[in-house]
Amino acid sequence: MNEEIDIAALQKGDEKAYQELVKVFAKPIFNTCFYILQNKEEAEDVTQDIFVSIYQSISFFKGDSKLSTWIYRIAINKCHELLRFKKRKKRFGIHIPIFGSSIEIKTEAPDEILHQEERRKVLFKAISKLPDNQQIAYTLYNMEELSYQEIAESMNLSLSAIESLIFRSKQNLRKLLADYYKINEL
Amino acid sequence: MENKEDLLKIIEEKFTTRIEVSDELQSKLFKIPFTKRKNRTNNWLLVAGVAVLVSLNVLAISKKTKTNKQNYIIEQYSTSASNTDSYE
Repeated sequence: MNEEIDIAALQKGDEKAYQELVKVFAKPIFNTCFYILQNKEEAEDVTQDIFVSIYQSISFFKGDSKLSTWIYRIAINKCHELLRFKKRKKRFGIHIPIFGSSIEIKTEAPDEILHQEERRKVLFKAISKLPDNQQIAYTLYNMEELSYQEIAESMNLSLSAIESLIFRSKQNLRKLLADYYKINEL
Repeated sequence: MENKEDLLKIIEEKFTTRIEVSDELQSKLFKIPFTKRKNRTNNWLLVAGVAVLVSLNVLAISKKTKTNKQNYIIEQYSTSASNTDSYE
């Protein structure tokens, strides 16, 4: 992905380079946000926020990591902020979801997108119940856009921490899905 | 309802489907540099406006002080002159 972007031109404020950046990264970043936040409108808002941050802070990019990793780091931080904000809102009772409703994707639901209606809905419900870090790590891992190493760099964690986050997220998902299955069987 | 094993299998499945970015969002993303530049220009205009107002005020105050001083001197001079006249 990085090879197509002229970072020096971007840092000088070149509009063509910026447009190229949007062309290359808009889709993967939007999809990452969509899968993490499970809401299309929120994903669009956060994507805009992310690109504003990229535009404003590209001059600080020193090339220590890949440009994509740096961009994903911004994206993950933004999604993390929003997830935290949503959870805080829930905790203080501003928004009290009816059982399960917080997990539903409002617009184009994953059932439409992912063609496996019921199972996907259940999985997405379960994913949203995971702790933020596990939710993000599992989503990034399953999207296959980033390697383990890149996920670790994007989340500012060690490789082993990511492995353990993904392992624990899968364990938790298994529990959550088993519980769901039990409830629906009864 | 599907069986439990099927349900658990999806944990290992990858999210392969990607949604296209809407044209509206894409154009919003393209416009970011222009919006930011416009905001920056607006901020500079605001700062310049404030600076002009402040300097106008400073000038007005200094002019007023100068006039007051001149008036005071003229007043003092005319008083002392009239006093001198009366002695004569």
